[in-house]
Amino acid sequence: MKRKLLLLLSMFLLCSFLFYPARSSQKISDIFNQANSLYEKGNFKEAISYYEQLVQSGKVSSDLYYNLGNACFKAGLPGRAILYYEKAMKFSPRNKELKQNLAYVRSLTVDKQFDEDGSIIFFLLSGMNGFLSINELTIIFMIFYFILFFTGLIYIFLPEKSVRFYNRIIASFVLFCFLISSFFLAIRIYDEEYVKKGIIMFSQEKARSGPGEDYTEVFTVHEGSKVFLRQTQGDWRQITLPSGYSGWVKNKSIEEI
Amino acid sequence: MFPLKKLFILITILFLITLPVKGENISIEATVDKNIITLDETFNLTIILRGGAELSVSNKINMPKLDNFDILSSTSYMDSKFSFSTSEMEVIKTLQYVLQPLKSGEFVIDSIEFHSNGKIIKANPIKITVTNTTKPTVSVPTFVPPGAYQIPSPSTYNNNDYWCVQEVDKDNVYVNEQVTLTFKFYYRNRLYQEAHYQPPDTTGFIVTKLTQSNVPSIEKMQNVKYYVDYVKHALFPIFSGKKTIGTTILNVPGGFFDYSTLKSNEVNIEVKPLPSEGRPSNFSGTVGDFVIYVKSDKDKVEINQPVSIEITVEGWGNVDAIGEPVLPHLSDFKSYPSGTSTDSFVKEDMVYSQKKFKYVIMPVKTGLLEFPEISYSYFAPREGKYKNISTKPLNIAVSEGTGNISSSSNTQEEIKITGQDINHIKTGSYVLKSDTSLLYKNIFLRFCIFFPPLGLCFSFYYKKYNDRLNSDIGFARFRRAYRKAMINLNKAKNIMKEKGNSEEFYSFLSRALTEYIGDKVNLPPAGLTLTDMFFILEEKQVDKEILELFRRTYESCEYGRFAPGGSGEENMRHALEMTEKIIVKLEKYM
Repeated sequence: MKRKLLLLLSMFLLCSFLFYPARSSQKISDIFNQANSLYEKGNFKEAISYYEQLVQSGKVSSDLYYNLGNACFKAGLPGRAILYYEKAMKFSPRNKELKQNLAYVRSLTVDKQFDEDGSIIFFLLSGMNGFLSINELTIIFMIFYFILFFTGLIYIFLPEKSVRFYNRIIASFVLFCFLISSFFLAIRIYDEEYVKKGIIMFSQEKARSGPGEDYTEVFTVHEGSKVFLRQTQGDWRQITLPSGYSGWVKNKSIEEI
Repeated sequence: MFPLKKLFILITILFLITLPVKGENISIEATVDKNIITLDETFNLTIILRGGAELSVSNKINMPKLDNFDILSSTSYMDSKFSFSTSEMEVIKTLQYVLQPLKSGEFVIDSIEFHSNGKIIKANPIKITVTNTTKPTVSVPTFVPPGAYQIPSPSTYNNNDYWCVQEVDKDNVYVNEQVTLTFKFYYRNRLYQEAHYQPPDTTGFIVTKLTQSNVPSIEKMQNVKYYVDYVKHALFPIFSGKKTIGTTILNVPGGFFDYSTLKSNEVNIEVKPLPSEGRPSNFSGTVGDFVIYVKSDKDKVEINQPVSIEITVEGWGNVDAIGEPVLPHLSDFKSYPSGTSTDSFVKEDMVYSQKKFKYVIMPVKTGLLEFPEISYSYFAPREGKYKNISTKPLNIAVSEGTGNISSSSNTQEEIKITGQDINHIKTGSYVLKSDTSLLYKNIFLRFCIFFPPLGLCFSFYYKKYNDRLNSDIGFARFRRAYRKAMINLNKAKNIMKEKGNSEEFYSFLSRALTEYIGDKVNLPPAGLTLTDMFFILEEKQVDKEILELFRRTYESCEYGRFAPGGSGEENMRHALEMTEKIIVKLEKYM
């Protein structure tokens, strides 16, 4: 009897394990479709809440951020729309529709947005930002890394001269590609880990010379502006504009990308 | 002198001597740059000798007496050409004299003679007329720059070694009219180093360099001979009003590291604005003397096919001031500008400019179409009035064409953007795949990073070990000794289990021991006696107890092999256990 009960319990656990993801996926798909239909009906605020449920569940994608950005823009939240578009851009930098939407919403903001320099030098120094996502760069890096490993194995186990000759040529090329991809990946990881960027969420925010209301106003930033985030002190955060000017704004007025 | 150099000179001389001499074809020619001059003027007498290689080694010219002239300078140079087709060498020798008459009147420079191979070749005599009329002397500026050499007055020329002056060809001009600025540097003695020229301040002018003297000319003032260098610039005033061309500075070398600064006078110019009276509506700022013409790359074309049109405005004047011609309304063509190109060069101390305006036109209907004449206006400063010029009309035959492009395509328009909004949302289940986690943070991926270097190290050592096993027999035997001994023991065990031949059983035990020791020290096991093995084990510092155990076990194995009757199963098991125990213990020492 005890044995039968144990078997039944095992079967139940196995079924739960097998069918849970499908059920979970079904549920997520339902929420997503519901959010889309709300968007289509013009009920943007409710669509946002559904999309955000998905974001909180962790099942996110660049397309979800894109839809969420659209819904925010239609709901009159351009700052939030830019934030989600920027998040999506990290993972789909070549998505044309995304680029267009971001450019369009940026063009409607008060502050002049800094255009990233389109020169080849800037492109290389930014680790091919805007062309390859950080995940794509990681995959490329890993592919070259493992090819390099295999050329090493061939070198050790196949001592024939002709094989070694061709292997050396391939290994040199792969090593070059590997070094280039590592260089770009290092830049992007540094950018991801140490260069924090944020979007201003309030329609108007006064930046002060220090972390407090008593400090002098140094400049005013408006909703949707992209800024670099520095240190935090209490409720205040230091921001730097692309032009180099620094100031302190309230923490709640910024969202990190 | 190096022997090689000597040899080269010798060969060159021999070559010149052996060359066919055009002695019979030697000619001499004497010319002057002007026949009628004043007393103050100088003239150039040039003698040109043409002939073969012998001209390069002989110099037998008889100059006539030049009592009525003062020879101010003389130069000579030679040029030679070798023709491979005729294997002949032609040498041209030029002698140049700068002469100044000493008195007025009519003089004849007698024939100049050249002696060659006993023959006398004569040049034509030259007649020179010297008049009394004297030209006004060079205008002497009143400007005296501080610290500089004083600009000499005519009476003090003799007391100055060098001086400079700058002058313009006209001082009352229109905007964009050319003014020629000439800077002259006079010096009595040849300079051993070049003087450093610093151009004047010409703010408000567009400046183009015209010419400069390559060799100094010679001018005589108050019976003092001066070498003269000059630099000429074309200046085009941009704005009207009173303009000043600043001082030109010349650093004249004196001795070693010693320079004297020489400053010229300033020059004032009155720049008049272009008259507003009579200014044509199509006037675009061009000043000078110009012509206009148009050409096309083809005169037959299919409908809607491009034709390149080039309208050229060229003439005397500033290229930057040439404005674009105004195209008339083209009902039969669509026109698109495709760029401009400019060119300018100096001709007789004047700037000659050319500007090309390029267009691409596309005929929109068939038939013999006319590209109309283009009217263009410019201001002629010499006459002080505006002038109108025009191109000739161009005829272009336009056919229907082989393509299916109908004339209705002419009505096509570019799509107009009437509004702007964001792109629509994305639908479908594909959007739900999670692609926003950062791969470089993935634990598995980070683990994978360490795998290749470890794998490579392991592979390297494995390969080395394998190579040694294959190449070093002693090492291979050593490494395999224990395994081989265990195989022998297993075989013995099987014989014992199957109750087989006890001789064979003991034989395997004995072999296990001898082969193990033989393999470990790389010696053939067949030749190993108990004494040998004892000696080897003692060398390896094996414990005495184990040695004793080894001796007893080995002897019992030998006894079992050669006296089979007395061994029972119990004895066999004991011997097997002991042998295994000994090999395991010996493994620590070997």
